[in-house]
Amino acid sequence: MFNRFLNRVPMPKSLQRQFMLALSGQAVLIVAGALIAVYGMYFSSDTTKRLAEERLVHLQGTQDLVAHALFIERGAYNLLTADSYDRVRAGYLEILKKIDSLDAIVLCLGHAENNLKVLDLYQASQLLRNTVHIVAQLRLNILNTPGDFSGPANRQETLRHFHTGLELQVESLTAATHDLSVRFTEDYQDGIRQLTFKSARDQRRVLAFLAGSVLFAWLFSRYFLGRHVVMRLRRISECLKMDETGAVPQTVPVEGEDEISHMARAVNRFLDERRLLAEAQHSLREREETLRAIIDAAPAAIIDLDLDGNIHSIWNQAAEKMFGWSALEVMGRPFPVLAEGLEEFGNLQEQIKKGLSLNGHEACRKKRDGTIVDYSIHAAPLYDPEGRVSGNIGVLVDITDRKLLDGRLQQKNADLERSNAELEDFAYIVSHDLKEPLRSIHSFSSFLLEDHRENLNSEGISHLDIVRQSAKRMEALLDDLLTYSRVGRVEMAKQPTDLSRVVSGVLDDLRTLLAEKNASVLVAKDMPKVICDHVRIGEVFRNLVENAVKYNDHEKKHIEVGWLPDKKSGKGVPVFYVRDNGIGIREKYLDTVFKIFKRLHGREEYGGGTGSGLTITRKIVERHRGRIWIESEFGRGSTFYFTLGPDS
Amino acid sequence: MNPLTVKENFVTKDNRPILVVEDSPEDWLILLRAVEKSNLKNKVIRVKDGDEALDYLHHRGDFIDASRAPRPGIILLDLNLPGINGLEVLSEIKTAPQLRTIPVVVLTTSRDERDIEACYQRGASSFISKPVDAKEFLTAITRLKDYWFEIVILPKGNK
Repeated sequence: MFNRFLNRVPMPKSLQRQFMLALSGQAVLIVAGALIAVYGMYFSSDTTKRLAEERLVHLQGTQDLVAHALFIERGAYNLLTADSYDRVRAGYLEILKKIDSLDAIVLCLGHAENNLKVLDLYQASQLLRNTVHIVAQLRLNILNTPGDFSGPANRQETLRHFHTGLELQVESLTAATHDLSVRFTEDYQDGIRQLTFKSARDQRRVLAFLAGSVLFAWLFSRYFLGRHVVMRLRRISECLKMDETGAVPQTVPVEGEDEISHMARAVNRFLDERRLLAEAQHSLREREETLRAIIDAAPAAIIDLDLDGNIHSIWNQAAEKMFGWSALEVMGRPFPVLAEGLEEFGNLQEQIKKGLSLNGHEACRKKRDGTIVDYSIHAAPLYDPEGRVSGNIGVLVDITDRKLLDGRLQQKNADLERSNAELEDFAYIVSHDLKEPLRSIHSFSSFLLEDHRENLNSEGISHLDIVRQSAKRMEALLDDLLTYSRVGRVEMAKQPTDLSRVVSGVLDDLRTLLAEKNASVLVAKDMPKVICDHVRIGEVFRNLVENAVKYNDHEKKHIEVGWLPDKKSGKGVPVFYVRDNGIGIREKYLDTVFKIFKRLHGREEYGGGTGSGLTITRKIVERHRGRIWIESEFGRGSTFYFTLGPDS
Repeated sequence: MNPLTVKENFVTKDNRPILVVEDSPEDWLILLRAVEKSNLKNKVIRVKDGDEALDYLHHRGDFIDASRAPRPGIILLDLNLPGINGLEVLSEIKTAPQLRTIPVVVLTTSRDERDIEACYQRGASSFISKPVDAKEFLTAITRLKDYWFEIVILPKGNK
């Protein structure tokens, strides 16, 4: 509550100023208290002095009064007893003087003590004066009458009367002065009492003020120093302590804008940073663990080398397995030591310092058991935070098996190459060594017919003709086989080709055939330009058009050459087609027609042929990474479709 | 034994002999018949393999006597030969300064593009694939005679 009050009061922001303000308040209070005390003391002493002086004057006055009264009493007695005129007169004057003096004192006292007592005294003195006057006159008169010593009796009587009166008045005066004296004494005592009371009151006030100051000081220390300063500091230190134990995240409450709140903010920042740091350290440890696990679980050997080429800290399980050395055995030792006699890392240290980077470098090492392990190494330099090369990390993959497989693969490749070469040799042998005897068979049967026809009957002649035809047919088969093997073997001479020109060239070559067979060919006007071996693709069109003419019973043979955008793949690979109104192909033979030397008809039907045209056609298409297929309705016609590869 | 089989010539303008390098006796007979039928009158000299052909041309071995091995007007060369093959023979002829002017006509069974290319690369004058058909063979030889011995003017060379 007090804090809230404190916060609401426009306080200086700085704690130092607050502190100075509070101290100044305290000082003001103390100074004020001291002033009040000093003033009180000064005031009371002054009053006491004044009162004492005043009362002392009064007391002296009353004492004088009493003395005067006594003198007057004695004077009056002297007057009464004086026996000469002169003495009476002198006594009378003396008394008058005293009475005047007394009146002066009474008058003086009357100012101070304007009360009945003084009035009484004054009246008594006036009365005395009168009486003294009368007595003096009487005495003088008596003394002025010589002889008449005894005087008239009445005169003596009067004198006695006044004599008594005088005595009475003197007594009364004395009594009055005494009364006044008593009265002033009491007054004085009363004044002292009042003064004592007042000084006691001042004392209490000062005490109360001091108590107030102490209370204020207590409140100041309790609320300002205690709650406002010490408690907040303690809270900060508690927060720090609690945060150290790491229980619940702590935040120091921030109040106001003074040094402690600055400190609190700083502490909060510090705590936040420490927490972040702790979290970062935690996640760093986690990542380190993850990395460690990855490294250990990795199937490849992972190692790191320091600048001297020694194993620094990483030698994972795969490395242990690969080389047969445990991490403990190799740690701190140079890596090449493991490789006796293998020198490809001769200047390893230099290379590491230069930031050795390898990408799939292949090497081999002697394992602990003496066998050789082949591996492929990827290496990258390690850098310290200042960006200097501090080492090198290597990932080594055991490729011993792959090497073995590579070896086998190379063997297989060699085998395959040899087999291909043999095949080529075979084709060559076919062309040479098989054709030579064929030529002999054909030639000599021809010579026989030419030279010895008359010695042969018609059957012999016919048989020799069959021999010659067979030889010719075999030559054709051999040529096709050769062509087929060459198409599969020779690189396609691909170049940008205008298919319109290719097709028109083919049709030009076939002009005679088309005319003979009464065949018309309709060619799409917009045949595209593609990349292909134009000679081979020309053969494809030629073959397909020839087939369309050959396998056609119609009087008017209609053939259509065109192309379609590829609907199926949508890749923009055009589909070319050659469509006829020919005899068609039964569905079950759609694949058979592509088999080499496979004919669907008798040897003499549909112009004969070896049955290898479509096989070679398909081979050419495939060599262009294309595809060929047929759609056919038996008896109505066929359409041969083919594509060329995406690179066409 | 005389390795040479000689056919005398009478009519042809250039009467220098033809050197035939041919290992196959059947093909030799077929060739001879075609030569006869084509009225080629030049002497046709046969050697059976590449080594013999080079011996003939360089006058070595059996042909050390230059008069028995006259320089041919043209050479008909088979590629498929025992021992040193036809291409090597061709190369040797075409690298020998005194022989390189003799036209070499390759007459072989092969139609292999590599063979054709290789022969022309090495300086062959013509490449003829021997037809299986006897009539076609005769046609080929007749035209060959017409061309090389009636149309073409062969270099003189040193006889």
